[in-house]
Amino acid sequence: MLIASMSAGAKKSWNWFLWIGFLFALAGFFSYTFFAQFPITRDFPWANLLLFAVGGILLVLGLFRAFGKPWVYRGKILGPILAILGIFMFGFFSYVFFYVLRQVPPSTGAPRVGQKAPEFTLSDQDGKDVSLRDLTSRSKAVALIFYRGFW
Amino acid sequence: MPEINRRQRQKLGYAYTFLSDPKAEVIRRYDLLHRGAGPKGTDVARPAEFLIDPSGTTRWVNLTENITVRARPEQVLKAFDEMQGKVVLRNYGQYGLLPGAIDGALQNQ
Repeated sequence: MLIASMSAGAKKSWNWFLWIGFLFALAGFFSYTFFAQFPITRDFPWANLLLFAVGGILLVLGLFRAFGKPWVYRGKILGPILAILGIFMFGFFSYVFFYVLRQVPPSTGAPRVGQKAPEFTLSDQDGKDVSLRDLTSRSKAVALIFYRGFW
Repeated sequence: MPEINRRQRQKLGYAYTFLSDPKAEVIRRYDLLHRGAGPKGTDVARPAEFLIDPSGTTRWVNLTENITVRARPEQVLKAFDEMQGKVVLRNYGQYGLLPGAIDGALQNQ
């Protein structure tokens, strides 16, 4: 009788560790385009990994609460779901950053230090022809930046 | 293509020259083609930076392993200083992320 009245009458607490942890994982997953603005967090995704770490810790704590004190906290079904989604987001992020984005062609034929840079003539932003010879003849150095036009 | 470059250049406020290579001819000449990696499967260049001296010789090359990692302005400036044979105690930090940093710095030489 005591047990029945506990589950019927006792109000379970909202397991906010699970939700906040999940939000951190979401932030870790979606925020790279923001952190990519700064070289430190673009070259290696420190910020994103940190967000995932904090999210992971909170999710684990939330699971401990949900399963350790189920009469106090909710989340025995939702907890595992959110945790799995969090793991999936972290896994996918890591896969993209550490594998997919490294699939770059070897470019072994690109000019190396000491070799002549191949000559070319292309249109500039005003439609005028510009050749590499023009550029090298009137400057101390030419920084040639092949910008991947989008990413 | 030049038209798109002009608008982008104005929008970003950059002062340096933008060149367009619509058929990826120069990209191929430099062996930087990344097949199908662009929007809708178009061919684009993998990111790469070169520093070329007045004789047309390559003096510094940056080919990163990861598409998102690019040369920072201070790296290019350092390569330029080394090329000049100078050990310059330049405050590279001030150039940071400012657009037109390379162009501005070279003009200040």
